[in-house]
Amino acid sequence: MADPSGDFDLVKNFIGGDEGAFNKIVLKYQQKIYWHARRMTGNHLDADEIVQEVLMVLYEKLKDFQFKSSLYTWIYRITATRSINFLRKNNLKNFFSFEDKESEVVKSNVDIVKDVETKERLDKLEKVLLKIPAKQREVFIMRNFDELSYEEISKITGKSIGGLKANYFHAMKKILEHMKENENER
Amino acid sequence: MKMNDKIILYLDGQLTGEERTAFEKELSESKSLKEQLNRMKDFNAGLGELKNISAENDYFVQMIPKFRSKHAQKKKFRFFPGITYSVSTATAIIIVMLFVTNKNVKNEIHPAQNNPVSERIVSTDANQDAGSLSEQFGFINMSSEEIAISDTLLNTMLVRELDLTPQSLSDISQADNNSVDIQTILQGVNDKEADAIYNEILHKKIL
Repeated sequence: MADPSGDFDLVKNFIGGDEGAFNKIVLKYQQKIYWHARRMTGNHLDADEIVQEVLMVLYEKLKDFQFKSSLYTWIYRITATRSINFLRKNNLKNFFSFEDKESEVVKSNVDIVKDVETKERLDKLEKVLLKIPAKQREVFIMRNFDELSYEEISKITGKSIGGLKANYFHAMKKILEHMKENENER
Repeated sequence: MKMNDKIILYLDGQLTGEERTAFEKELSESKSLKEQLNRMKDFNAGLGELKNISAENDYFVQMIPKFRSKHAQKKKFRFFPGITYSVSTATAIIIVMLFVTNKNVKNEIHPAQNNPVSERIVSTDANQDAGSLSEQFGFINMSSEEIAISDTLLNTMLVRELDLTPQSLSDISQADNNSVDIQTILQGVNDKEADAIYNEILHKKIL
């Protein structure tokens, strides 16, 4: 979890009109925002779209932020919600679209990960992640990559801890199955 | 519960104290379970390596400038809906005003049409062969005395309406006495004079 120290002052300064404070907040959390969106969508272009959307929401809503939760939790909540909404929208769009394959090729060609070996491993993981339901994927990412506790995930998603545990269990099971299938296919 | 499921729950810390003790006992006795657990641990370690991926730093450097530019565009765009809203409101107001004005004009015309006397006058205009004004207004069953009174009344109204001088009035009376019919009078009035009379009546009626 990101170090929350200094967040209060940054928000206060931003509310006071210091635009530089907003830049500092973004610099502090941009990696977390991007990689959550990236793992949820499985490609850079979609992740970038979510990032820009999240920054827009942050900029507009930060003035009303009252520190009822930590800034990190709040930013993560916005990112998680936007990612899920984006996927829903995308599913609808794909349902009515005939250009799926073309756009998928374009999306996979644009990336900020340049190391070939890392990209290959990331692609493999992203493909498996995309095979599981978004809600299960979300918990899996928060748990495995952001190392969040169930309590923290519950604060972010507003879901019960029991439900989250069940989601994680099913996510892990499905991922292991898909990984096994992939290995057998080789 | 399958072994794999137990391993997932064990590694995720979801087993209760008792379940955990029982699982660890089983683990110490079963070689295959230990292998399965190690495979799962390797998988998790592999995921861990994908936690901090080195990516192009330039993307993150450009993130804020890109946002700032998008935000500025959005702000600019927000100005247009304001204008659009104002223009559409103004258009709506103009349309409503036009509608209301038209309705008023219509209302100015309609009462005259609903007025039975006016209707009769209109029909009189259309029927030039009709007889005296009294006959035109349906006073046919009146006695000659009553007809004379009503004719005088109508004449007075016309005199007031046309603002006639005593001389012109005597001319009309004389014409009446000489039994000059309406067609003869009309023949004596040229188009220019007719227009002038018409305009004068119209002017008095409206202003």
